[in-house]
Amino acid sequence: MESRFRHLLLNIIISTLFFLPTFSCGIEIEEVKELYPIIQPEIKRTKFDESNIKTADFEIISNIGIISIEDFGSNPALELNINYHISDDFFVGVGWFQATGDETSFEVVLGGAPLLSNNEREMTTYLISLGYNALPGEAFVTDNLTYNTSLYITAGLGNTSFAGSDHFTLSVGAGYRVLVSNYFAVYTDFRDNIFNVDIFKEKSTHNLKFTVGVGYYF
Amino acid sequence: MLIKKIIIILLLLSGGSNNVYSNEQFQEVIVADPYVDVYTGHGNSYPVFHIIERGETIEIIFRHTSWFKIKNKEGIEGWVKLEQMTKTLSPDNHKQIELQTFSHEDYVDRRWEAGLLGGRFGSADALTIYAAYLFNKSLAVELSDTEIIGNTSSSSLYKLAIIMQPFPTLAFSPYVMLGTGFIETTPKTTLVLPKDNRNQFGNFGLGVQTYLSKRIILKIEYSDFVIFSANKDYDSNEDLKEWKAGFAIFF
Repeated sequence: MESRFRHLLLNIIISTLFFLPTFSCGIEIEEVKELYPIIQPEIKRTKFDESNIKTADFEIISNIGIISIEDFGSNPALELNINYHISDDFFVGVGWFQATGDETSFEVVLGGAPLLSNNEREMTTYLISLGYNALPGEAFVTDNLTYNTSLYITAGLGNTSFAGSDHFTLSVGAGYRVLVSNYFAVYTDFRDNIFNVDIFKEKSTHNLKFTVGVGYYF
Repeated sequence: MLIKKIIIILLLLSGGSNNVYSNEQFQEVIVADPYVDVYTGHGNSYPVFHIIERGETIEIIFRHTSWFKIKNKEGIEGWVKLEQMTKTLSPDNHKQIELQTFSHEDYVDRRWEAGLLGGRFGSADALTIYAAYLFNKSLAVELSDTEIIGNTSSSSLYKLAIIMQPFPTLAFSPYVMLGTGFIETTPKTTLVLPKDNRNQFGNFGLGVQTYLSKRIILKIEYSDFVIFSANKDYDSNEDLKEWKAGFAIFF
């Protein structure tokens, strides 16, 4: 029974690999060449036209991670960023993320009426930020596999909707970018979102967020 | 186990996108300088690992900021900077190629501009996002949205303004603006305040802007707002001042 199951699983994996074009492209092309020796026409772009050169200065990044909302516990956060790379040093970006606050220890211990309604526990933040690639470098994964990387720092301003009102937000952070191919990057990002809340009394809160993400250049 | 999975995903991603362009036809250019440096990454701090000699043909895979990912005939891939790339030749007529660069001149002749500014509006923090269209070097129209986050209420201010920049070529170029629009105020939920309201306003502003580099403009602005909030209960209009600074990108 077990071996039959294994066999089935293996079959599924093999067929998936075969049908997924990105995985099997290299193999497929070779096979086709062997079967049908097509003469590929040599098309040469002899004339220079700048529009033939693709530019990839914009980047869309989707992140997932954890945010620790001060007094409201640590919760999953979903994030979307669009960055524009101005130079190899600087980039600007707009970002949005969403999370939901838990119950405070105060509510858990004392019970009674909740401090905030479920809607008010939803946290939505918009940020505009400026980033600086402070430490560009390379990561040598194996002897012949190298990825370009960058340790960057960011600072941003924005608005956080939480606890039923808007809060002016300052965001500072740092992250690590690994360019895994020409158009894809993998991120780990750490940020502190600082804003004032006035649920009991007005105080400044630090909301630490750690995310991982994938970026695509276009 | 997790690390293994991540590495596999990374490999698949890199393999996947390599295939995307493996059969594509790229723009070719001929090296005209005695040699061209090929860097391992897009930045001056990356090492030069290869040199392409005069007369060699290279393919341009894509451009990222002012760097070009290239491939030579032997399949060596690397990055070449803009300054060296502009000295290469077109394969058909052997003339020097022209690539898009940004200079002070392009800034003066810009058509579109979009930016982000932060500052103080009255006694509250404010953030502004705007887009502007320039009819000529010194006349522009601007549309903006300012989000004002105060202690007792938050407001959205939508503005349409005409901007005059009398000396567009100066390094620090002053401008004046005249605008109008409306402001919507929402009180914070923790406080009991009058109901939401919406008022029209008139605005006069002064600012200075300077060209930084590439496509970036820095600007600082002072604005005076007269909010037409007078009604039968309320006798006078409100007068609010705004300071803000930020950056813009032009196209």
